[in-house]
Amino acid sequence: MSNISYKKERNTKEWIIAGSVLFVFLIIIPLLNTLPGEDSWFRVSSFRLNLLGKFCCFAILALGLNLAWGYTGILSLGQGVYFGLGGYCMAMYLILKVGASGHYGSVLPDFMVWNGLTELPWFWKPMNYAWIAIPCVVIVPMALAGGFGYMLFRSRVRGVYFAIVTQALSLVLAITLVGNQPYTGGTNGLNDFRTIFGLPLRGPDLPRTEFVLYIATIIILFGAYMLCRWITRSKLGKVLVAIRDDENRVRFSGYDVANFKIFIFMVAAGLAGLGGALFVPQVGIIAPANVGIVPSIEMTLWVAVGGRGTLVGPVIGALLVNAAKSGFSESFPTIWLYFLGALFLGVVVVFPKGVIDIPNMIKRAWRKKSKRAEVDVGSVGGVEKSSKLSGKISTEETNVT
Amino acid sequence: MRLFHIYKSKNNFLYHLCMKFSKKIAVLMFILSALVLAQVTYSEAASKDYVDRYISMLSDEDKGVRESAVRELGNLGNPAALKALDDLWNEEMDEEVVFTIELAVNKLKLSDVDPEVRIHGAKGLGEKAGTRTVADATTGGVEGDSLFKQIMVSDQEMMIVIALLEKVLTTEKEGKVRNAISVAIQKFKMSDSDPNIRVEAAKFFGELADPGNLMYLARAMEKEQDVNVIAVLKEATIKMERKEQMALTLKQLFNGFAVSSQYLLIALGLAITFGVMGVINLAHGEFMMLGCYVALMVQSLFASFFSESIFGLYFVLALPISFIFTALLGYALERSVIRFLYGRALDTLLATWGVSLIIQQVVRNVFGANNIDVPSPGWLQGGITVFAGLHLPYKRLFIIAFTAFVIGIVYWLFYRTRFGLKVRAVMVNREMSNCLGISVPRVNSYTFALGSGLAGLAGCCMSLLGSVGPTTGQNYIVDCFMVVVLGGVGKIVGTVAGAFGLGETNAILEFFTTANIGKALAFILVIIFLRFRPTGFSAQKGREDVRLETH
Repeated sequence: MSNISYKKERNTKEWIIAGSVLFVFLIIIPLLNTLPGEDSWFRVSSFRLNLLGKFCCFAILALGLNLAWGYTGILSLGQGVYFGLGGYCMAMYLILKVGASGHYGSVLPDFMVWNGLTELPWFWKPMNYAWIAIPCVVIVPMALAGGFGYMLFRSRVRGVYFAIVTQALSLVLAITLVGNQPYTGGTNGLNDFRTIFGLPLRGPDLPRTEFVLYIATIIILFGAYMLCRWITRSKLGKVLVAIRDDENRVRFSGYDVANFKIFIFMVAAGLAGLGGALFVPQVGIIAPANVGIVPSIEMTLWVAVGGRGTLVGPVIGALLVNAAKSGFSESFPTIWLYFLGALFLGVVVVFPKGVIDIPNMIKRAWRKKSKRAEVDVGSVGGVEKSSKLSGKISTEETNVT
Repeated sequence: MRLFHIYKSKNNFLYHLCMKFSKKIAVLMFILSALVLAQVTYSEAASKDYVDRYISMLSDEDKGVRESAVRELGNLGNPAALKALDDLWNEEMDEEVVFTIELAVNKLKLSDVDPEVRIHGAKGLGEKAGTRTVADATTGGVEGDSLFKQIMVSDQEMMIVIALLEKVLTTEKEGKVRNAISVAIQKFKMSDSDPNIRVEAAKFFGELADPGNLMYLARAMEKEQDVNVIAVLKEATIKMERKEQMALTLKQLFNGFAVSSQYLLIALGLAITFGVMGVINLAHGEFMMLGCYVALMVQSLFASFFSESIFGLYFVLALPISFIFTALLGYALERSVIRFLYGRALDTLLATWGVSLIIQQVVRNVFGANNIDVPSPGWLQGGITVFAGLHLPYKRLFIIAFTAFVIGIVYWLFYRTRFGLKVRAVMVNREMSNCLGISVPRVNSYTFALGSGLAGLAGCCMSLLGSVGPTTGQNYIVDCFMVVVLGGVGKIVGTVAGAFGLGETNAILEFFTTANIGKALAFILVIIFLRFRPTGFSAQKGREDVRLETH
């Protein structure tokens, strides 16, 4: 138990894996998108590439959520709020770039025109400039998370209560977006973008833009991963885990728990906003349906499926669940919800540590089996019984506390 | 006295006379009455004759002829003409004739058997009074556009209507109809040429203070020239507006109260599972939705197997069935999933969300994705009108009463029975209760079943308020969790306070903003409130932290 070894730990194996995964996502898949012929079996179509890019946006969000939930024990059921704020900032920037070439020939976005607005509302005005809009993508969600966290963590609202309140927040945002159609586009959200930094977002050149966006998303995802890795390996990360495991003890040790929580919640929000901002140009729309309660809860599922409290888990979870979702909803849309429901149940009851733990589970099962064989060889029936009993007691203990 | 004796005594002359000619007198009487009867039938026949003649005149090409025929039909008061007038009303193009027809129809309605129709007739007549512009009517066409020329009741017609209304008023016994008739009379009197009569009428409206007449008074005020009358009218308007304001406020408060009791009814089960067991049941909304569907099914069973007369009783049966159904389902859920998750509150949240998705999809596959209307039983339709402008629907009143009833039952169950004692013991200290011989798993299952059953019961009640769809439950779940969090965990009183706090706040904010913004603001207020009282209105001190620990 060399606890201080986090400082200079060099794990070459991990680097090799990380490097090769990055190589596959950054070089191989884009190459497969461009090199093989249209009908080739190896070809990754632009549609699939775009889909993968979208999933990677979700993975960025999942990384952040995992920092809060997996490492610090703050379950946020309102991560869609921050995702949505980032997305809406980006979308408003893109939609204002359309300028006077819209349907109505007005500088205002089309939906504002037909809702009778004559002037851009003040809070959207900064989104005219890229140098404000792009930082806002991260800053606005972080600011909200900071304020929200300050209010609740300071008064020690935690656990289930916090989860429910975040859920209410996501409902608040969703109904605010729907209810203020002149300012937010209502249920339809923001869509119909033209260009992003000079690259077209419609027309025949769209695949090229999507390619660039995909590469950018992968790089940012990698950056986010490195950030999370750095945080969790630092001393800060250890405190976070300690807060998760016994908040009171950390508090009694002289740490200001609330500040740590606020910080990590803000980081999670910032990553969610980043994911949302990358999501918008790739999918071409952001709407209240992306930020409400249902998508927000689904986000926690990505983390849970992948494996909470592990670094890679959430990324794998986000990719897996969303791939399954798009696969199922393409072929059997009705079955998807059954599958999703079963996934929620299964991940909680059967493998609470996520898919990342499955190899370990198999290993453990294997070891147990061989141990049992040993016991059988020893032919002492009572030993097995007593070990079973003690196992039962210990599980009950963990259940109780 | 003496006279009486004379009459009674047998040697009285008259008496003898009567006895002697009794048969003849009887015959005479009979003939007389026959004559009277014949006279009546004759006159009725004559009136029928007239009616027929006027009805035939209704199809005359000349507008004047039609108009006078309509007027005569209205004055004859024979309901037989109603249908013909109605037909004509549908076809007639000329505005003035239409106006006359409406007058006549309303006049005829005054002699209907049904009091509702009579009220309708009186109100209709009253409305006609407002269309009159000034006492001498010629200016109407001049000042207005010819397209919108004012049609009005002539002075003569007005006298007839007032006379008719007053005549009906003398025989009318139903209070509501009497009110409607006197309102109509006063409305006509407002257009009287004599200012004194107008003042009287205005005073009448001031005393009545029915906000429904506000528009009418405003119109009357516009064309009024007499200073006295205007003063009285203003006073009356202010009175009415005050009353309207009051009615609006009371209505809003009542709505808030009704919404609160809905929240309470749904959140009660949640408070039990969450507060007592530390389980976050996100499928609670779906149990509620299933309760709605149970009501729907019981109702369609009634519709197909039982007679129309007892159809309204379906609801009484649906209540216990929905409770039992969802309670069993909750029991099954607890046994199969939840019991593995005690102490892992956040995991129960995810697992029950999964269950809720599955239930939703099952319902979608079985009943279809669209919302279905559940017709409510006849005995819950309608409502009480406390005073004009404040109408309390029976459905909402029923839900309020039922919520109070359920709260009472749950209170009794928790604080007056052995089961409740056990539940509370488990809530305070799980291990200690186990040591004292309480079967904790059993208490848990029963508590969860109870909570789920209450959700079904709530759903059954909610089916009264509108249509039912697969996502009905999801729409309520966040609100209800907010109620529980606001109320604080572990005390029924807290949940009650939370429900009414949220419901009334919501109603008040909605009143000043829109429905959406009101709800959003209410939630934000709750969040701010939690910043100062993190445990809600009331909270059990002690071990809940341990139970709700995050892992």
